[in-house]
Amino acid sequence: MKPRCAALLLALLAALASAQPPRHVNPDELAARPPDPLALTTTYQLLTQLLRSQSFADAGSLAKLLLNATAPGDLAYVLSRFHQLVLEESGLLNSSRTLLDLARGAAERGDLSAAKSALGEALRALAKANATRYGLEEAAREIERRLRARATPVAAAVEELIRAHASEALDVNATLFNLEGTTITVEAPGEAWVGSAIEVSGLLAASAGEPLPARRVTVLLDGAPAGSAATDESGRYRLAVKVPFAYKERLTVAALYLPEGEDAQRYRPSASDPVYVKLLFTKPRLSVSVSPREVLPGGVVKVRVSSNASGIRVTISAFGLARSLTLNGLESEVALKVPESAVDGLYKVVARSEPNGTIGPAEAAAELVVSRIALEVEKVEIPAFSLAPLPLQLKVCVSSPNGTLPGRYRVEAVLLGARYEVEAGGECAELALKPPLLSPTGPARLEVTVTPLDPRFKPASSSAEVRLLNLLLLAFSAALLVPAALRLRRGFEREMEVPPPKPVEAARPEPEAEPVAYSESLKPEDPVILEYVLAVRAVEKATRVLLKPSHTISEYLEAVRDKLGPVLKHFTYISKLAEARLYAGAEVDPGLARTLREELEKLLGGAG
Amino acid sequence: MRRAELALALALTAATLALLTAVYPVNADFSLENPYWNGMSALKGAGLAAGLAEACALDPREHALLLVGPSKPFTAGDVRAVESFLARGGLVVVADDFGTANQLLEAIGAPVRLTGSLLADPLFNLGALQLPLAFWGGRRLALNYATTVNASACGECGILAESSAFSYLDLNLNGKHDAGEPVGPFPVAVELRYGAGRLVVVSDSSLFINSMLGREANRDFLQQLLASRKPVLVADRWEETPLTMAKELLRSAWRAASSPEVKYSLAALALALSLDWGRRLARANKRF
Repeated sequence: MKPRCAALLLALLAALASAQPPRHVNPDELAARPPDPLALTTTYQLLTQLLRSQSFADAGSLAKLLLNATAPGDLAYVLSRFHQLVLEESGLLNSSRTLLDLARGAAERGDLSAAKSALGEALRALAKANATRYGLEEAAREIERRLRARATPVAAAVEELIRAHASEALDVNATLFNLEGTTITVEAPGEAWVGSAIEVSGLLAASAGEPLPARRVTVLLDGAPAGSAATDESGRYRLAVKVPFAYKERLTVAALYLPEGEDAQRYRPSASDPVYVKLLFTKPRLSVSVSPREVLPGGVVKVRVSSNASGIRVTISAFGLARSLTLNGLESEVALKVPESAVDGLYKVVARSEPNGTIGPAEAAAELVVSRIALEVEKVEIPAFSLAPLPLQLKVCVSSPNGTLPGRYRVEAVLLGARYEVEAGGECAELALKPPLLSPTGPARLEVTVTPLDPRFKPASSSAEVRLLNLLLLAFSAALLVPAALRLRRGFEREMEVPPPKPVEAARPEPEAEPVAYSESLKPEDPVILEYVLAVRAVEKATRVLLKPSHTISEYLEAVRDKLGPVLKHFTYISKLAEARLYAGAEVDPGLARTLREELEKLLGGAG
Repeated sequence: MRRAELALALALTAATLALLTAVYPVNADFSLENPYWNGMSALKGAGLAAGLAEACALDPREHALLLVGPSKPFTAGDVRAVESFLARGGLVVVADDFGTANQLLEAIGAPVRLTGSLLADPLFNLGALQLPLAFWGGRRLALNYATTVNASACGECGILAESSAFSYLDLNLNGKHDAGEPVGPFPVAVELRYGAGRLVVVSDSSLFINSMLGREANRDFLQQLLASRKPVLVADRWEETPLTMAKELLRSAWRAASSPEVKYSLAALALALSLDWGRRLARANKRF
């Protein structure tokens, strides 16, 4: 049962891990893949639709966006070339469309030279588009072959449009020179009050000058149809129109003749040159003032609005909020609350009066400064010297220029990367700082930030310095230094020791010497020779080579040389000392001989 | 003698380990010390790394906080530190995708969230649909396993960059668009005022890593965000690897060893040991 549970848990964990995508992958290790053919096909469908609906600007934007599509190797070039060609074709078709419309419009106005010029330009754009089309078709086929994304409908749509535009150009060309032109004039008063009625009149005639009676003429005010009238026997028309409540400098009046019925096959439409009517209305004087001009967030200001027109409705906007009021008499006052979230800065209080009949709109603005009270950290009280990691007390006192203090504020202190905070009220706040365990000895910088909880106050910050002495590090240093110093001292004392006098060596109790058959020349009563004899005993035991009476010291050394190994050096040295003592009567330090002998015995495994 | 040899061997091993730890390059994600593709050493010259508390205590007029790919939870103290930095007029750039940044955004009351769904773009990408391109004005940003920003509850947020109209959220992570998966454009970088400060939320933690910073306009985007401020990479919000822990330990030891009492004690100890060894050597020479 348990293994099953474990397996289930593992499977669950694996599923969870696979459900979370990685945070990133190394882009250099990725093999670039071509764009998704399905996504590309969908995009080309959209592009085809846009082209067919002659939304050339949108089609151009989409083609421009598609230039960002990425693909590996030379496929990137094919894609980019295709999208570039679609962009160019969209531009050319857009040009031909606009030029054809211009040509038709100019033809209808009777401006034959402008119509011809526009038509010529349109045909040139179409010729260029037709030349580019072949490259577009090739690129589309290549994309279909290599990416399996359906790009040929885009090329087909472009071809259809080129054909349609060319046919339209021929049509414009055919109709351009067969219609008779017309002229229309318009007359209107030079000025008029808003809301009043004015009489607009004019004359409609064929290009030869003969008046055109019983034709419908439309009068446009600022481009919008305002009414229509029929021409009389002399080709004149007359119409009363109402001036709109438009509070601007002037009104544009124009007349338009659009041939209807049989006239459409005979006359070209015409539009008059515009005439301008100065608009008359009363401009009220509006002024606005705020008191006080400087305010705290959350505070209230009085906004006084005055005007020379009474009873108008005024909207006051500030801080993204709007309030409306109606002027009682010539002035009015309203209280405006500054949002608590408003940051320091200069704000505009705008008053706009709404138009009413012949009284036009007016606007006035006043400036308001939102400024929070600058809180100051007056004092940061901390011991100049402290023992770490023992806690130390910090006292922070705040003040403000006008003497008011925030009800509550938060004091944050950062010392050696450790953060401490406390919420307090009143003038001063206290908090205990506990320096980190491994605080280095020396000066440490303390950063203090005071953040008032009252939005009317600005935060303040300050810094101070404290000298720390870390007791733990001090103890660690002592633990390092004291044993080292003691050891050094012992060493020096040993070196200063006076070597023991020789008689002391002589008085040393002699080891119990076993009777041996050594050469008679050896004198065991000499301490150096005695050490040699003891060394020989150890060597005999270890090598099983006995010192014969006939052996000299050198001969015995030669006899055991090959069997001594690492202790050969010691035995050679002690043999030389014995020779020097025995044959040359040299002064030899018995202590050295004893040390050598003891080391030799130790190395031979405690023999002797 | 044998004890001394053992001590020497141990000391040499410890020194070698310490040296290896010190010189072995960090390979942890987003680290300013990491020179590999997933690190941020490219920013080392221009910025610095610090703990969150330390970073928030810096002057907000001169520094900008870069909170990249946090994976550790934020404490109430962390949240207050960030709030305080923003209240003092600071700039905080939060770049995250599947980390813990949402917890911070929620705690400080910012009306934006990271959706946590994988953003994919089959057309505009760096060779894989999980490495989509985003559009920052007329320029492009290269993303790497990014998500999107949900700023629908934010009335005053400015969208700095967004994904293409062909991007989608790959909710089931199958690498293709399925019915019901939302389609773009999605905001990927959003800016909002927070008190006197400015908060920028980017939905990709990898936008500024070494292998991505030089791609498209990523570097210019960061420079424009920072203006003249020095970036401070918040370095204590990631899960630690054994190597980073060892390096941190070594750094702490070095800091402790740099304090005068330890520094001079160690020097004195070295002197004492060399004197002792010198004396022993002289005695041995005299003996032979």
